[in-house]
Amino acid sequence: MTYYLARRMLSFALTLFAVSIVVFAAMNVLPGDPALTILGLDATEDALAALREQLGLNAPLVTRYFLWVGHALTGDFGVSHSFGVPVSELIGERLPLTVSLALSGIVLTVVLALALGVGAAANHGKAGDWGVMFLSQIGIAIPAFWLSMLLVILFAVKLRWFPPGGFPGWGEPLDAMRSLVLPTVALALVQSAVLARVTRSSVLEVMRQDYVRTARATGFSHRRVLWLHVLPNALVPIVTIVGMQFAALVTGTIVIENVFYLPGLGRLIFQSISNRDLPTVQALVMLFAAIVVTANFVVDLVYVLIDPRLKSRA
Amino acid sequence: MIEMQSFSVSFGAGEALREASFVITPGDRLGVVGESGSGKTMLGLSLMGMAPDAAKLSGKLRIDGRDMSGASERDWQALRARKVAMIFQEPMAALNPLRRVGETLCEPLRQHLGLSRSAARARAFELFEEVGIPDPEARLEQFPHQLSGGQRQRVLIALALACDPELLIADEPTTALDANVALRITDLLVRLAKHRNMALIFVSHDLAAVARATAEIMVMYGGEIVERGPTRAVLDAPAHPYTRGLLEARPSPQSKARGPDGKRPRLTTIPGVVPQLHDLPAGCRFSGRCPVELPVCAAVRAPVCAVAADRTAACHALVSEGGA
Repeated sequence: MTYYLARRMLSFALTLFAVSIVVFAAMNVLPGDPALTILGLDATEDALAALREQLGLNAPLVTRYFLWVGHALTGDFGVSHSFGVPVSELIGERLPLTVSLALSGIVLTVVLALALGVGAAANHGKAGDWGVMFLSQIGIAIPAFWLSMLLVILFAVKLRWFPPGGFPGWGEPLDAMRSLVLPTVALALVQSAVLARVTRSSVLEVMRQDYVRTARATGFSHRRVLWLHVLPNALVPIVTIVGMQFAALVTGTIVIENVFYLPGLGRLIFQSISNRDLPTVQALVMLFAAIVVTANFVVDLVYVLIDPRLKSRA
Repeated sequence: MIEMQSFSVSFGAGEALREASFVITPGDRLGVVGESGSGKTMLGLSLMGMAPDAAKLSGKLRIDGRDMSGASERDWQALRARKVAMIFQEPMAALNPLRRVGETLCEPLRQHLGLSRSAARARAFELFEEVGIPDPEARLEQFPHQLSGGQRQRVLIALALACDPELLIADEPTTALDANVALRITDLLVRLAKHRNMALIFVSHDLAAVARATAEIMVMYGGEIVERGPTRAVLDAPAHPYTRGLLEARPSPQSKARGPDGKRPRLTTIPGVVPQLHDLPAGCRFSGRCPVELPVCAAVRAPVCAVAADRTAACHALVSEGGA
């Protein structure tokens, strides 16, 4: 168990290290001169050289990498070129929105997918099963941004239940939550379509196991057998997919926040890429990668919680 | 008391069980033998109301005076574990791998008998002692993968006994176990049945185990009960050609002796294989493989003949012998 944990932690740290190298290298081999971007095409050569010196762009690559990592570890990601404020401040302001969006998205995904997937498996081969399979096929085929527009047209423009976009700030919690409903649904519907299918096939697989027959032979109702005996055993593949989907949801916020004009990290990364704002982009890509790697780490821990056999083997 | 009368289970045109009739009362120990595909397991599942959904059932099945032919799933749920319980062939796969065996055992005690958490725990402890699991306190806390095959089968027996059933169906309970463990499990089942005055149906293809465990025997072939009677009498002097074939196919101590050519004699086998469900012969199911087959056998069902006061066999050859 300790060995398993230690190995997971090590792989967690190594992955982040590798990601940091890739991110740093990618940003620095990209064509385009940040100094030129900041000062504009009319800038004199002297002014550009002075700014490069000030930005630390003249130091050797390796030195700059370690300076960047060293500062990043203390929470200092440098100053944004385009906003002129510390990157950590930019992130701090926008993080709560993106985190709320991703978390509510994954919760809605899991709830919808478990209900539909287990329901479909319990009615295997009947109308309910076919219905869920058909809907999920449509869900998988629809791009999230297009679904967002449909949701806006129906629920914001026609029915006026929710705002079409924008964010009033956390000062008004109720309105803030209302403005997150449509983006959450847009994020979750597509993901839950995928997860419902995984849930259905995993549950069907477990329903064939001998211990499920034992549970039935012990006189328990279908419902009890399904939720207390079958589902826990079907969770391992489901949790694996949920981990991958959380990553997809986090990156999905880039599109969704732009469609709904939400001031989150997704919108920030989009803006800073357009502005060639290197420190901000580097910090954000690193942050997104860290979130994804952390999600996978959590999945590895959940496996052990689900299955006692892993605990004694690990 | 459990009574089957002309009970059949069919899948389309194929009959997995053909007009089975028998009665079992508390304390009876009935062996059911036959090759794979003979309908033994289907017989057991039918008594639990657990025949596959695709199966069509006909005939009468009474459990404790209640007519269960056409009973709903809910009716069956009320009987399972409390009146009729079953243990299965593969103890390795028959326990939920994510639960401590104590939790598994306490679940029916709490759900069906309404015991409190601590009362269920105490009862689980007693059940583990009854089925001969050493150090029950520690075992209750373990997961199935931490137990041996024999111990898992004991856990499953304890689970089946949890609600004091009147009938325990053991479907090949020892097939997956080592020979000496199998012997102990067989003896345990007999002891429990006697001690609790519980009926036992012992399904197996191991004739030695059946001889050890049961007082009465039913021999099945192709979904049909071909011979039945006291276990000892049937195995000593089989009346049906299929039963004779089964007994001859057993290795015996003599068969180990080498012949004059220095080779061991080959084991006798029944020629041919059990036919598939959809092309069973219309008459006697054994026709086509039978060494004493008569012209009538393939087309006409064999009548059930009384071989002795307490024995029957379904065979045309017995009729012509009797008539001659």
